[in-house]
Amino acid sequence: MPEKKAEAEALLYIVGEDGITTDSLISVLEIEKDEILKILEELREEYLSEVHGIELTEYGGLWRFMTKKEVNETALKLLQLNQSTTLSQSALETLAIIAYKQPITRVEIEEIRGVGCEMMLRRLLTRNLIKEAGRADAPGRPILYEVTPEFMDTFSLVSLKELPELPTYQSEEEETLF
Amino acid sequence: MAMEDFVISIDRFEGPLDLMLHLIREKKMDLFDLDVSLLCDQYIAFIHANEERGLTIAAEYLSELAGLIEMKSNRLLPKRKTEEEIEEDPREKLIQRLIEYQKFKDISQILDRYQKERSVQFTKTLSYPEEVRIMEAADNSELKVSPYDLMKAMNRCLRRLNISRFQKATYSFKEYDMQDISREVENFLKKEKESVSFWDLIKNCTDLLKAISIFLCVLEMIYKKQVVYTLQQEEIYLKWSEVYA
Repeated sequence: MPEKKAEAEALLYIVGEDGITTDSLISVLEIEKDEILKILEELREEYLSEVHGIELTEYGGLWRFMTKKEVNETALKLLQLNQSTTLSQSALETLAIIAYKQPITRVEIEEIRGVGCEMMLRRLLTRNLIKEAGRADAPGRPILYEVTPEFMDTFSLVSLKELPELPTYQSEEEETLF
Repeated sequence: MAMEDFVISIDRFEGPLDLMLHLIREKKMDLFDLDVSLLCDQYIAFIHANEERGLTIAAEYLSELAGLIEMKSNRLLPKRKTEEEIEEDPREKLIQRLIEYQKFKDISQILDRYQKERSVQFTKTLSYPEEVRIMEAADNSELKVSPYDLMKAMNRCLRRLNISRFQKATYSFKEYDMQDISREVENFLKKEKESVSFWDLIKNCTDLLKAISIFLCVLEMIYKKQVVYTLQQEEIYLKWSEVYA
């Protein structure tokens, strides 16, 4: 019988980009939560060592093996990065608003951005970066939106708490700001 | 109104608020003690300069412009005493909106950095469950090949079928008769008692156009209620509707 740690490592290898939740690991490995968390932490520590080019991440609640940032330059000699997959400025603004204000309606987003966002929301929905989260208790019962685990993965976030605090601007600071 | 020779294209801005923040910064105005008249003049000049260059101005820019003009004219006119003071000061409101927008603009730059960092961390794709199924089938057969031979052969087929991936392009035009395709799909679906996955329908396609034609055809059948469908784990399943037949 291989060690649970070896089995966990193998499962993480199999799932690849899809990633796996802590709960799935618990049910497949038939293991206590404390134990799997200890194993995952150990694996993460081990892979952090400089002798490894791969690391274990937990973006958006999914455990995944991925290459380290440090090996970029070498990796990019092998691959050509498709820049078109990165999100545009307007997509980023819309996502930022949703991440900080969720659940939020389209109209509320548009009030902050000052432009129509219908097409943008549709695009973000297709890319699975946001999802519908019920309806607001307002006239017309507008759809509410919130970000998805896919969003968390796109920005290397384990939880929304990791987002930087919203800046506060005071008039004393105006010199440095404007 | 004198405008610099070099005019930034309106397409470079994310919207009227983005434009206003740019003008405020450029003219070194104080955002917290905003000179609405000056901002309004700058804004109009900018819109005009862009119009002269033949650029389309989105409706959002014009509606904010109307608000600015109203604010400017209200400041020029003597205030009537009857007006209720409780009413929200539109200038204060605009300042708050600009500050709020600036916050998210700053955050979006941080997010941009995060996504760039993430985009150079690579993962491998899921090890396909199909491989498992192939091995099970091979176990029951009497063929004298190893499951791995079968797997290799299957993977070769899958790769050959991978028509959606960009390859060296050669142009060829082939037209499909929708009626032919429709008949083909109908026969295929009628033949099966259970539901059929969409992948089963298109897996024999040799080009993308045919796959798309089949998809359109299926959409029409769903619309005509000839076919019922369901979605499971991102896979479309189709069944010929007996109600119609």
